[in-house]
Amino acid sequence: MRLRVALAALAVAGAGIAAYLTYVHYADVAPVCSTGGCEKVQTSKYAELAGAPVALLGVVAYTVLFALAWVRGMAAAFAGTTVALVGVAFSGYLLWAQLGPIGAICQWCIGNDVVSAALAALCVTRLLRET
Amino acid sequence: MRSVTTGSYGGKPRAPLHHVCMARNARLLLLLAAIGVAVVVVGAVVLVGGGGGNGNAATSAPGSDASSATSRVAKRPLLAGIPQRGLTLGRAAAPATLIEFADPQCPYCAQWSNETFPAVVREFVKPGKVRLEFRGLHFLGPDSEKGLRAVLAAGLQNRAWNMIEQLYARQGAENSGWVNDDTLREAGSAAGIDVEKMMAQRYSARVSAQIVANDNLASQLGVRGTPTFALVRPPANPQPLEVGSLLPGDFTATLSAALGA
Repeated sequence: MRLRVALAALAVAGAGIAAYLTYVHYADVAPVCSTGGCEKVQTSKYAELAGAPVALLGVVAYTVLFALAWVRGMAAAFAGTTVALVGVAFSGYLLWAQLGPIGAICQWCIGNDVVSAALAALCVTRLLRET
Repeated sequence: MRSVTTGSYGGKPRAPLHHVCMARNARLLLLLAAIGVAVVVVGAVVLVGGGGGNGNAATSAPGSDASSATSRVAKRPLLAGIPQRGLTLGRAAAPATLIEFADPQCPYCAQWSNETFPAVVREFVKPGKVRLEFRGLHFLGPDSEKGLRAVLAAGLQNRAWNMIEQLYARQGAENSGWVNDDTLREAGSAAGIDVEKMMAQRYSARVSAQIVANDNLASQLGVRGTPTFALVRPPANPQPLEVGSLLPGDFTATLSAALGA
């Protein structure tokens, strides 16, 4: 139960970050930033996927993970692990884009990377423990 | 025949060992399946729609990630509703004017335009605190002059800032011929100006006179590189604005301090 509560808490944290970046995207405002590169990252081509801001996709993914955290059973654990691993892999790709082609670091993206990595680790743990 | 068990605690029998092993194997298979799905999904995204197909992005000069900048400029009507007159952007009644000396080919000018200019517009120009004035220079070579003439011609239509923003978003390698008619027409079109009029006025006497005036002012203020900034607070004469960093936060802090002084 504690594991699933932790999963839900992390999903809320991730959804908060993603929701803020989604707001920044649609409100056309500069994100609060201490690393100096947030706006460059947020306005780069890597910030959109098929016309949708990746932050919005993050909100959807974190919402799904939050919901799955409260569902018992192997199917929910498998679904959550799959979503979390897709998320962490995509976060890794975006981190590469920041360090390489974009040449700027966004603190919000780094925060998201940390949350998605922790979520993936917890989801894998849950899957291996689920009965 | 009795099953081998993993032992018992408190009188509660545990699952038979072979059941435990099967369950563990099933979980590992599910984990491998999840990893496989993640690899396939993200791999497909990277290959098809993740924006990773533009090799220029990885090798371009600072701030010249052309496709991302072009996309940003096209998507964001940053300058919509802000008055422009000639080479100025912002309200004529603004208490201060920030002059930018810039070369269309200078990569750091493009970086400033792509990254910092939006913050300056939002924090200073839109609220009416500052008016911007573009003073283009052309010391980097032939493409600089071609680009500058187009920007100054766009200024005759009161769209100089739209044009320079679009040009910086398309900046290419120095004197590689990137400032050609196609680039200018594309940038002009994106800037929302009468392209043919701009092309025709590039070599007009007014544009040539403006280039001379810009050179003279730069010489008068001792401009040695671009981008260089000067702040005008009438009735005082233009004063060079010493900028330690072109990053948005640092630049706006410097400008705030200068305006408050």
